[in-house]
Amino acid sequence: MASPCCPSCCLACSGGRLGKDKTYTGPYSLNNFISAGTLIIQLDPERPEIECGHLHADDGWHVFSGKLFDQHLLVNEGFCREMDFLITHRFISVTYRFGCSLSAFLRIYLIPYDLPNVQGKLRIRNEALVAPTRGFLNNLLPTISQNEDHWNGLYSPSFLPTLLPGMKVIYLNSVVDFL
Amino acid sequence: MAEIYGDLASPQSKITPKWEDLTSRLLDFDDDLSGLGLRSSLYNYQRRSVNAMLQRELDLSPIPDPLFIELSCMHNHSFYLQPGTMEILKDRPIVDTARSGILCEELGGLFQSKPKEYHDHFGLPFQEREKQ
Repeated sequence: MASPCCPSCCLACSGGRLGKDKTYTGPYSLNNFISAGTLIIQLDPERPEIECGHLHADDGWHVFSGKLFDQHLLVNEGFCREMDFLITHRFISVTYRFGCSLSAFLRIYLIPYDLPNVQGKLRIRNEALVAPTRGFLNNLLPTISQNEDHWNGLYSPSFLPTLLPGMKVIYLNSVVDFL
Repeated sequence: MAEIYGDLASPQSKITPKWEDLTSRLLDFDDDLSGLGLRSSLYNYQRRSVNAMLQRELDLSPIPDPLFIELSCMHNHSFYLQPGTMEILKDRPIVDTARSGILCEELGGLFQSKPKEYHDHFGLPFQEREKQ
């Protein structure tokens, strides 16, 4: 049953008539993914409200889909298309919750290539899938925040992304250590 | 790129298992290395470089894949990213090491332009130490 206090639920969900929880326990459960961090997106005030999917993910937030948000973002520039590609091909999983001031928090879960119990399927993906993914993840990862408040759907002063600070220097250090 | 490389720390020079007698002496800067047959006195940074090269040739034990960088998730668990391929793993692969490599050192320039800082950082050659 959908939580009555979820800010992303419609009235029908909150009333308990439509909302339901996703209780998936297989290998693709959110619990098996990497909770990378949060992204905050700004919604366009000129656009109508986003339709409620009446479905909560394992973490209690709503399941994100780029198609759902495509016409509702203040700045899009292919963001929704890239997110849908990554979600469809199981590179990431995303849930959302509405914040205040026409914004939404997105929880980004990374799906590791070495996810157990999938018979190694994620390690042998077609290069036609993997090639664009590199660019899309390159765009996405540096924008992810690891702020605890954001992860919990709360605002805090820091909006700076933190997942990959100074990634190039860290990476070169790692390689130089080896050499 | 030059700025990025300029910020990089030098590779770690460690004592090599089974070769402790030699490599620990190289890293003990109070040891004058007598009996090793060296013709020249080495600066401290050169001793570290020689040791790193020996380590490279002698220690062939498997190591965590250096192409992956370690990151933390929201629950403080580590995961690993290969930035070249954007491959993401929960467990870092282990790879075999290989002999040989390239020695990259800036020779002389620092000594000429900043002798005091150079001495403070790298130490004096043994001949100069003995004069003091």
